[in-house]
Amino acid sequence: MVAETRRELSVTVAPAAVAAARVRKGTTESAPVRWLLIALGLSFIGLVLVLPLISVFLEALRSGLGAFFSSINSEDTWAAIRLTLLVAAISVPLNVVFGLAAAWAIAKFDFHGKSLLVTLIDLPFSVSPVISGLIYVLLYGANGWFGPFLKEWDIKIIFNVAGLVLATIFVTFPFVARELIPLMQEQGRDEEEAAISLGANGWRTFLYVTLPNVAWGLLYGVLLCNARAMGEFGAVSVVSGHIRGMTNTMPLHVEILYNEYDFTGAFAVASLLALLAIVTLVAKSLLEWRYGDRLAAGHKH
Amino acid sequence: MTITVDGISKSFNSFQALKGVDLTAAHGEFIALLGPSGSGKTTLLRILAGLEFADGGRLLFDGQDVAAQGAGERNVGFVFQHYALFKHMTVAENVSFGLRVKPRDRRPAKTVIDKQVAELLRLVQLERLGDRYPSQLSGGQRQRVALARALAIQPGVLLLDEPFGALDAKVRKELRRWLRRLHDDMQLTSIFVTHDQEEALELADRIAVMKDGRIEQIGTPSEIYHQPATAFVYEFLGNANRLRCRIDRGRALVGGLDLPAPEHPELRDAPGIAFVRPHDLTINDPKQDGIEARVRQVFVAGPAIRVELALLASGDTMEAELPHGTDLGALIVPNKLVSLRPTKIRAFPDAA
Amino acid sequence: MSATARSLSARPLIAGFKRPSVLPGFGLTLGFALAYLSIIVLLPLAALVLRPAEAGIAGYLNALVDPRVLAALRLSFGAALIAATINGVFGLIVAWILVRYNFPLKRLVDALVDLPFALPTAVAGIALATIYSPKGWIGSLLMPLGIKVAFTPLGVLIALIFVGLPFVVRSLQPVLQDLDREVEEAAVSLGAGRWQTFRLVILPAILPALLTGFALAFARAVGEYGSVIFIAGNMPMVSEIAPLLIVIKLEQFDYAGAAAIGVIMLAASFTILLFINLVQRWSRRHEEN
Repeated sequence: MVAETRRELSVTVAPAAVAAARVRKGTTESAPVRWLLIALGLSFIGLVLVLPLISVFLEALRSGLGAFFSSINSEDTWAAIRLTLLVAAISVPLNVVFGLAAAWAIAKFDFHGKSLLVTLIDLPFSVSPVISGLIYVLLYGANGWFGPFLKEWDIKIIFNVAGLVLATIFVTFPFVARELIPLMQEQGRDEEEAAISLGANGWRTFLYVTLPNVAWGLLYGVLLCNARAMGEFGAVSVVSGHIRGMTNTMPLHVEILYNEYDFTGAFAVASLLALLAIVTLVAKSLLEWRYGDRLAAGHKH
Repeated sequence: MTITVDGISKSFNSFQALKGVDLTAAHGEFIALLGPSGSGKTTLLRILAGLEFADGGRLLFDGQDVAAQGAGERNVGFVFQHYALFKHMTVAENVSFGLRVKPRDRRPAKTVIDKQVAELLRLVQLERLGDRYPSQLSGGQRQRVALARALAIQPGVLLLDEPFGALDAKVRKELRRWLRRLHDDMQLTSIFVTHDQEEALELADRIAVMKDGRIEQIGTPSEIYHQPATAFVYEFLGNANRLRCRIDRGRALVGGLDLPAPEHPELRDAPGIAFVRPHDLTINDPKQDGIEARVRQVFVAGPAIRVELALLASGDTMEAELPHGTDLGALIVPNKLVSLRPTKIRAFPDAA
Repeated sequence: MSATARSLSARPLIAGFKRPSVLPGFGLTLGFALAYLSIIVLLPLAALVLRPAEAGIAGYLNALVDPRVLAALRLSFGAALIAATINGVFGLIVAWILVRYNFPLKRLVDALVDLPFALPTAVAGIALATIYSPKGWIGSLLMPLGIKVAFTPLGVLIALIFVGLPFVVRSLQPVLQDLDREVEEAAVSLGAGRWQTFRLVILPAILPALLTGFALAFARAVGEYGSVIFIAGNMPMVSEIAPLLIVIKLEQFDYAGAAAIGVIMLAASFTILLFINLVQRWSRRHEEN
């Protein structure tokens, strides 16, 4: 519908296709550069990440499936698995309670010292795992502050399950809290205040209003918390005493087997842990992909 | 620089943004690409800049085909709607960027660059803000920095993409006038994109009205406004009342009135739409000849008096405008029956 | 902020500490959280800091002048620094290709980046030790070239690269994602080449995130234990990392010595955290309000 009388006449040459294909937009790199970067990036990932992961499974199966299963089926391995599960089963729920409490206090109220509190919660992330174990030895070990006191009452924390649990809690409690705090802060207080004004008490408000809102974020935090709890090595190594069958978690058991040159055994147990890691990564990706908007900002892909 | 756009078309996946566009710009002309969102005006501008590439057609700068040149080689100055300033560089560093990235053999000496930057900052009236960062400037100031930055490379053509769209109304008006003055001083070919018809009418030497990837009409502001080629152009350039009519031998018959429609001498009793501007509509006593309507609301506050009416026959809404201070009498009162008479219409055949 | 919150912030503080609120449970939740933190974090940390001090300042100084301690600290910090730098470069490449390009298995690669977070350090440790040992897949390739990785500081470096990678990539990804493409277009229209655009426009914009990722990778690497001890060889003065030295001192019941090293490492970690905070604030100086 061009208005004929108003149209400007242009140079009349049969239009030819512009050689656009040969010119690239200035906002991307040239093809050779792109391929080089992709090659470099993928090689790095392959070398640093994929290779170790694959090697775990290959080494575990090196002597055949029979050897693999008999390593898994040993008494000590089962004890290690049970202990790992026990420690996680205690630490994770405790950390969930803490995370919910801390997030409620921080997100729903205004008070001085909030940022200090958040920094404290972030603390374990910047501490070496060995130090995380060290501090409990300093408190509850034989030469520790409470050492003599505990000895008198014949309570064993270090070189016992209790010590493992404490060290694991230290290392993993930030995971749940760090996911819930920004999430609850993003969600604000309006819904809870509305519930209160409609007559609900604190508990009901929490159960029926807050909890459903943070459910997916909570699950995400629990996932990460659990993966770390089951896989923690440095901290529990310091407090455990490495007593086979009693205070050996799976990662510690891997170390013992490896140091005894039972490589098949070590990698067999390690492959179980690697499987756990893969499951965690898959579940994590799924959560981020499908429920990205219900997790704290920064987890969306 | 003269610009020739010849049959340019462009698709994004299945969406055709430009469907064969022709346009020329003479040296020093100020051309507006005016149209609603989706009309293709920004796409055309970006193709001119070399930020996008057309699927078909030719593009000539001073007679040279520039299809093979990227944005950096075309010597265009591009100004973005949201300024796109380099946040971590000072104003002076922003403005001098184009000079600093020139290849060594063509790069001016630092003292020369500093002098040119100072000149440009003076030109855009930001002399003392050279050391500030963009985050410390207002929107209007930022846009002027963007302009200075584009001018620093001494482009052959200035391309502006809704340059005042992100600014508030008052700043927009000021910058508008200032830009026109700048253009008159520099005689730089300029093409700018806008959806604001007031802006286009005020600034441009010629306006290209675009719709759905095509140019509906190109002409001077006066031509576009007073002799719109299509109903779309008419409606886009100002408020329009629509009246159903029949066009016959250069006359439009609407509501018992017989009005001149000299643009269509060839039509015989064709259905059409007569467009009337609100200020061309007079409101008379119902006994007089005209189109029957009922007054709905009268808005007295403001630069003119606006009267909202409903046609009796169809219920369609009409808007009339009266000069400020007109005596409304007993006639122009809500619910009153009145008779409308257009003093000037523009009729188009009704395609539907 | 909701209207309620706005009006609440105008009210005076209770006990100079907290604003009045409609919602219940403050005392309960904060109380529990603080108690938990005290038992789990504060008390043990106090023990850490005070233990060496039982021997006075000398307690700390003794640890600092011991050559074995110094060697271990040098190795831990030095290798961490190099590893973090390598991660900085390659992490940038990985983040760039994940954000800007499309290629097969891209999603898989993106998920894999978090592997060092999810994989237990001991598993990574034995895997790396095996791969780089003289008979391992890569170790056997490097032996003829005279390069020994396992049981050398080089092995330590490899392990630290593994643990630090995700920090750089995850710090950079959101920032790269949010980069304003128009700014790159502006640079191009002004005549900048692609490398110039990257150097002058893109890099400064992502530098804060890059530094943050670098610092996080560095902090993690300094304290890393499980991934390293299998591949390191752990020879005193040569390939012994500081965390391992802490464990050894504990086994010798030299609690004060272990604590002294721990405090030094903690002090370094805090300095890094502070640095990150400052970097992030510095990076926002050019943002809008």
